[in-house]
Amino acid sequence: MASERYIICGDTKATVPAESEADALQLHLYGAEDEHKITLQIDDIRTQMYKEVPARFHDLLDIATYVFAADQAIERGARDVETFGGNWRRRLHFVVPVGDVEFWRSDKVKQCLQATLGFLSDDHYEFDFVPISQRPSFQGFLNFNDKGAMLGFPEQVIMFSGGLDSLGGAVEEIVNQKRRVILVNHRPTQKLDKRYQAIREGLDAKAPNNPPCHIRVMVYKQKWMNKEYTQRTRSFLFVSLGATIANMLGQSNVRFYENGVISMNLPVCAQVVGGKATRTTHPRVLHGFQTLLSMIADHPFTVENPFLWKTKGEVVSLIAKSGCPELIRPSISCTHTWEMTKEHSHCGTCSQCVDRRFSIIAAGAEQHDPLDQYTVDVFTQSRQKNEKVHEDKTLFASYLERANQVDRFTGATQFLAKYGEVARALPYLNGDPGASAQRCYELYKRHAAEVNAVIDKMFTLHGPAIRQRTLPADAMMRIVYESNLPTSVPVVPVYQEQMPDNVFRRCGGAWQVRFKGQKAFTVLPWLGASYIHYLLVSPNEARPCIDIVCSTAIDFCDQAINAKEAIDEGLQSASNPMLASLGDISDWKAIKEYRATAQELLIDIENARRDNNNVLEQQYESDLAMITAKINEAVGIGGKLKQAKDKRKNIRDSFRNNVKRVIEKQIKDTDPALAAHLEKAILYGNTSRYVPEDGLTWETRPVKND
Amino acid sequence: MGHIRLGQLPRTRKWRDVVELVAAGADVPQVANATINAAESAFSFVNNDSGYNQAVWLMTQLGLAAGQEKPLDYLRSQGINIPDNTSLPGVAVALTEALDNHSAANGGHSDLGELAQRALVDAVIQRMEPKLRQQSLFNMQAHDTQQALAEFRKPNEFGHLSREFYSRLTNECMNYFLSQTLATNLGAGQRFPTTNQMAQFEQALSTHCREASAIVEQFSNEWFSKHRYEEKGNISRESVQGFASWALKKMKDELKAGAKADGQ
Repeated sequence: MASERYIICGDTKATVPAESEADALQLHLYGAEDEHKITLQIDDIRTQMYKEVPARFHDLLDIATYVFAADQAIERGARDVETFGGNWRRRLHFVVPVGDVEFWRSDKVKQCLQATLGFLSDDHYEFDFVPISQRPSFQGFLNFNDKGAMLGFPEQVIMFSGGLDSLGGAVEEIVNQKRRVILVNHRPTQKLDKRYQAIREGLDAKAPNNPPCHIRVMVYKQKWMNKEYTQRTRSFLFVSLGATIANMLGQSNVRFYENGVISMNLPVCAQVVGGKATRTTHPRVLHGFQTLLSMIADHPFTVENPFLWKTKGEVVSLIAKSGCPELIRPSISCTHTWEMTKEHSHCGTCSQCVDRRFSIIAAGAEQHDPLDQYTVDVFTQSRQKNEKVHEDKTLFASYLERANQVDRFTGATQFLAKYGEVARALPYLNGDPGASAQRCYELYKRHAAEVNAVIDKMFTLHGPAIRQRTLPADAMMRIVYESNLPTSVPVVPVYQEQMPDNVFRRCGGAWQVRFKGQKAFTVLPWLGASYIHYLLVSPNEARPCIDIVCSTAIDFCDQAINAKEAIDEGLQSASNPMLASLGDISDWKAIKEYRATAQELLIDIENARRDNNNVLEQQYESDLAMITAKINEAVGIGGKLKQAKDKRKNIRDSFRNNVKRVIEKQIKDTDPALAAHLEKAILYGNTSRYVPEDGLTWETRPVKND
Repeated sequence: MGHIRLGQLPRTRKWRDVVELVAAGADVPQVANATINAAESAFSFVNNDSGYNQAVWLMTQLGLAAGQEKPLDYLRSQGINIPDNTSLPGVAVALTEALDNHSAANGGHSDLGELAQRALVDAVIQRMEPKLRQQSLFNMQAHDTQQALAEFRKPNEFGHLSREFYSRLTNECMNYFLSQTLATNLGAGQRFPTTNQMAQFEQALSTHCREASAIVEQFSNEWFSKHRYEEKGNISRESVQGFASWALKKMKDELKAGAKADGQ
C-alpha cells in the first residue's frame, strides 16, 4: 500500500509527521479564494428547507466534500499489476474541523465512517476530528440559489444521476406512484445540462400534478485537483446531500435506484479485484451509509435501492411500459463524457455503453435509443484505435463470457463458488444468506439470458454481414460468431499432419519447434531463431554469417525474396565486398612520406615568414594541419598503426550472440536436450555450420494454413 | 457493468515475451511458464501478504475444527462466526468476514488477498457441497453444518481442500496477469478469432492449474498431519506462513515443469 497522505481541512493547525509533511494536502471550504478552496453549490432549493440544519449534518457535508475533493486530488499509483494492487490503494489521513467533536470522535461513528469509506473506495481511511473555530452560515457555505419550484410537500428524496436506472426510479415514483419527490443530481460537467433539461421537462409533462423538485449539486475546485478520475467516493457526497435535504424535510429515507447487477458489480474478469469494480451502491455500502446516517440523525434512517433485484433490461421495460419511452433518449449512461459531442452522446465502447445497448435491445426499446447517438455501434463497428481499446475489448469480451458461464450454471452454489465476492453482499440483503444467494443467482441468470438473447437477435439481424465477413475484424458480432461449431464440421475428414520428430519452422509470426518427438513449443521470432533456421535448412553446409545475417534482414524487411534465392542472387561471400579485409588505415611508407612532407612544410613556413609573404605562409600552415591530421589518424598510442574497423567481425559476433541468446533464453528452459544439441552442433566463425548427429533431419518448411 | 479500471503489464523484456508468446500461438504450459517467470517480482510480495496468509490460516482452522467436539464453537473462538442454523452461503459469508476483518486490522487489502478470498470460498464450497447434497444447501440446521465441517477430519481431506484452494488461486493469478493480453489478441486474423477460442484457452489454463495443483495435495496432507501432531492440535501462525510460502513455491515449480518439452 502507498505511503500515508495527510489531508488537512479548514483552518486546522494539525501536526503532521515530518515524513508526510511535504505532500500533505490542504483544503478549505470557506475563507480565502486561493488554490486550496473548494465550493459546494446547490441550485434550486427553497429557503425554508435549510432553516434548521443540525450541526451534525452540516459536519457531514463538510466531511463528504473534503473526502470527495481529496479522492480526486490524490492520484492512485501506477496501474501495473506487478505489485498486486499495492499502488491502487491509498492511505488517507484526514484532519477535519467539526462542530460536534464528541460525536464524531466516538468509536462507533468513526469506525462506521472509516469502514464504509474503506469498502467504497478500496482505500484505508483515518480521521482526526478537531473543534471548528468558526463556520459561516449554512446558506453562505452551500451557495444556495433559491428558485422555489416545489409544489406541495415532498415525500421522497431520490438520488438522480440521469442514467437509465435513476430515470426508471424517477418514473416509478413520479409517474406510476404519483409521489412528490426531490431529485438530487450531481452535475459533473455542463455538457450534460441540455439532456438533463430534456428529462426534467419530460418528467414535468408526465406529472403535471406532482412535478418533481430538482436539486443540482456542483463541487467547484481548482483544476490542479482533477488528477484521479475514478471518483469512487462520489456516492458518499451524493447521499450526504440527499440525507441532509431529507432531514430538512423531516424525512428519514433516501433512495438510490440502480439495477442489481451493477449494484453488486461482481467482477467480470480476474483482474477486476476489490474496488476496481465500482461499489457506489453496493449493498454493504448502502448499509454503511444507513448506519452512519441513523447515528447522525439520532433515529432510524434508511438508504434503499428498490431496483436491487431488477436487471437493467427490466428497468428499461418499466420506463417503456410506464408511457415514458421518449425519456430514454436524453438519459446518459456513458462514462467517457469527455468524448461526448453534439451528435454523439455515447461512445459505444465503454462498459456502460455496452450494458445500456444490450438492455435497450433486450427490452425491445431500440427505437427510443437511436444508433446515431453512438460514436461506434456496439455490435458491428470496430473499437476505436486509442489507448483504451484493449481495456474496452477486455471488458466486452468478459461481459459476454460471463453471460455464457452464468447461463450454463445449474445452481446457486456454482454461482457462489465462481463469484465468491457475492459473499460480501449477502449479509446486507435483509434475509438468510442462503435465500439471498439464490436471489442473486436468479438475478444474474436473468441478466445472462437477456445478454444471450440480444446476441441471438443480432445474429439474425446481421447474418449476411457475418457470413460475408464484411464486418471489421474486431466487431463484436464477428468475434462471437464461431464458424467451427459442431454443426459445421465438414463431412469429409480434414487431413491432419502427423508432426515429424524434428521441427524448426515458421508458424504464424513465430517458430514451431520440436526435437526428437518431444512436445512442440513456440520460439519467439528473435533474430537468432532465424539464424538457427538457416543453418538447419542445410546441415553440414558451411554458411558465411554475412549471408545469413543479410538474408534475415531482407526477410525482416518483408521483401518477397526467398531466403535461399537471396543467397544465390548475389549475396555469396566471394562476391561480397564487405567481406574483403579492410586492414590498416595507412602504412609505414605513407607515414614516412607524411613526415617528410611535414618537415618540408615547416621549412617553407619559416621562409615565407622571413619574406613576409602572408599568403604563402597561410597556405603552408593549412597543408601542414592536414598532413598532421592524417598522421594522427593513422598512428595510435605507442606509435602503432591504427586498424580500420572490421565489419565482418561485428557481424560474426552479432550472429553468434543472437544464436546463443535464443538457445539460452528461449530453448534451454523448455527443452534442455535441444539446447545441448544445438550448442554442440553449431560451429561458429566467419562461416558457420550445423553439424548434426548422423541421420538427424529437420522439417523446416513453414506451416501453411490452406 | 459499473465503472471498472484495469491494470497494465509492466514493459519489461519478460512481460513482452509473455505478450508475444500469446500472440504467436504458444500453448498454455509455455504461456504459464513465461508468466511465472515474468511475475517473479509480483510473487515476491506474497510471503508478506496478510490476506493470502490469513486465507491459508482459515483453511487450517477448518481442518482443526473438524477434530473438536464442537467445531462451530472452536471456529468462533478463531474469529469465524458461523451461525448455528446457517446455509452453505452462510459459511462463505463467515469466512469472507473473518478474512476482511483481519485485512482491515493488518494494513488493508491487497489484490492477492482478494484473489485468495475467491479461492477460499470456492474451495470450501467444492468440498462441502457434495457432503450436503442429501440435505438442503440453503436451509441447513446446526447439525448439518457441524456434520459437514466434521468431514474435514477424514484422512486426506485437508489435502483435497488445499488442492482446490491452490488450483483456483493460481488460475486466478494467471488470469489476473493475462486477461487483458488475451483480449488484445481477440478478433479475426489474431490469435483468438472468436470469444469461444479465447474461452477454450482460459479453460485449458484452468485445467493446467488444476493438474499442477496435484503436487500440493500430498504435501498438504503430510504437513497438516505432522504439525497437528507436533503442535498438539493447534498450528501456529508461523507454521502456517511457512506452509503458505512453500505451497505456492511448489505450485510455481510445477507450473514451470509443465512447460518442459519432455513433460518431466
